Formats: sequence, structure tokens, C-alpha cells
Amino acid sequence: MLVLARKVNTSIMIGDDIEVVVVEIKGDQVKLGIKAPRNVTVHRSEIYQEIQNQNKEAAGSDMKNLEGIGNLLKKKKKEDS
Amino acid sequence: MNLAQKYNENESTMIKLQTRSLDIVDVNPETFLSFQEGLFGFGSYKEFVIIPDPGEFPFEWLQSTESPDLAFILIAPNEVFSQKYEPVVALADLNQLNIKSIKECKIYTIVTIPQKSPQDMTANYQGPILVNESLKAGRQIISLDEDHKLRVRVLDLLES
Repeated sequence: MLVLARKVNTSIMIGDDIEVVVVEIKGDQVKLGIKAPRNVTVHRSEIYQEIQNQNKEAAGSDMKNLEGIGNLLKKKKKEDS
Repeated sequence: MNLAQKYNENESTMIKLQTRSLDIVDVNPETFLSFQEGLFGFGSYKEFVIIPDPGEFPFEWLQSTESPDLAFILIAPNEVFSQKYEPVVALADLNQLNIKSIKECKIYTIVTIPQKSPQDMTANYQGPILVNESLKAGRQIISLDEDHKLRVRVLDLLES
């Protein structure tokens, strides 16, 4: 991994159209500004990890079929009405 | 289109697909959806088909055509719940699906059903599945709306 030391208000370029600016440093938190073309997606990395884990949990259930599960929803609807 | 119609159209082109939960199902390969980048955590599976559960509305299956063991349970929230769900989609994701607006695609959420307490099933509002039916392409995206949570309790959605 490339490690660069930067001060507040300095930045790095990734390729020629993505710029990451160090906006503020406070204690153990750093605020980054990202200038990127609108066709680039930027998310916190833990969001990817969380969605991966959720997908694994969703795919990993032993559920052979959904028999009766739909009834839960119908029952719920009836109770409410 | 109801289920019977979906299953009966172009009967001659139907093939048999081994699925995880519905045994062998007749499907039309023309309805197969390409997921260029797979799903998060499942990047190597690039093709799925959506099969409505024959018994348990409103659930549908996102079944891998490449691995019978890989399937996800889906709900299309806007067809089931009164509360409107509109993920905020990055332009890059719209471009990948070749659409200009979210209104041009179908929105599904993956449902997680805990075995011991199915009443606590949740829908993933943070990472929905978008489908461009005319392009036969699907994509899991991350909604940029931070109110769209990873686990939204389905039974609570029925109350709202």
C-alpha cells in the first residue's frame, strides 16, 4: 500500500480526475473531500463490508421453502385492518 | 403479468433449471438477467433469474443460473408496502444500467429470514437490487440516502 503524509488543505490525485483533499484533522478523525467525476461511486468501505455480510446471511439461510412465511404478512395485515 | 402467464409464454423455449428452493423450475432463458459485477460478496456469479414464489406472495427468488445452491429471497417494496421506497442512486450506477432515472428500473430488496424467528425478517434498504428489464441487466447498488438501513423489519413496513 502506498502511504503518503499530507497536511490540511493539501491533496492527492488518483489518476488525473480524482482528487482527495484533507479538509480537517481533529484528534483521531480526518475529514476528506473527494472531487471525482459523477460517474465514480464513493462510499465508506465499511458499508461494502456490511452489505457483503448481509448478503451472505441472506443467502446462507437453510430455508428450503417459504411455506407459511407469506401467511405471517397476511396475518399481520389482517390484525392491522 | 400473472404467474401462469409468465410460465406459459414461449413454452417451447423453456428450459429446466435446478433451483435452491423450488426444485426444478421451467424458465425462459430470455428472462435471465446479467449482473456484470455480481452481488456484493458474490462477485463471481454473474447471471440470475427472478422467479416468483409459487405459493408465498409477495416473495420472489433471485436464483443464480450458474449455481443451484445460490439464491436470495426478494420483495419488491413498492408493490407490497404502502410507504414508497426510492433509493438514491449514484450516476455511475444509473450509467451501468443504461438508465437516466430510477423510475426506469424495477426495484427489489433482498430479504433475510432468521430461521428461528421468521417474524423478524428484514429487507435490505441500503443495498437494493435494480433491474433494467429491457436490457436484461441487474445490479446491486448502495443507496446514497443514509436513512435507508441495512435491516428494515418487514412486519414494521406493513404497519406503516
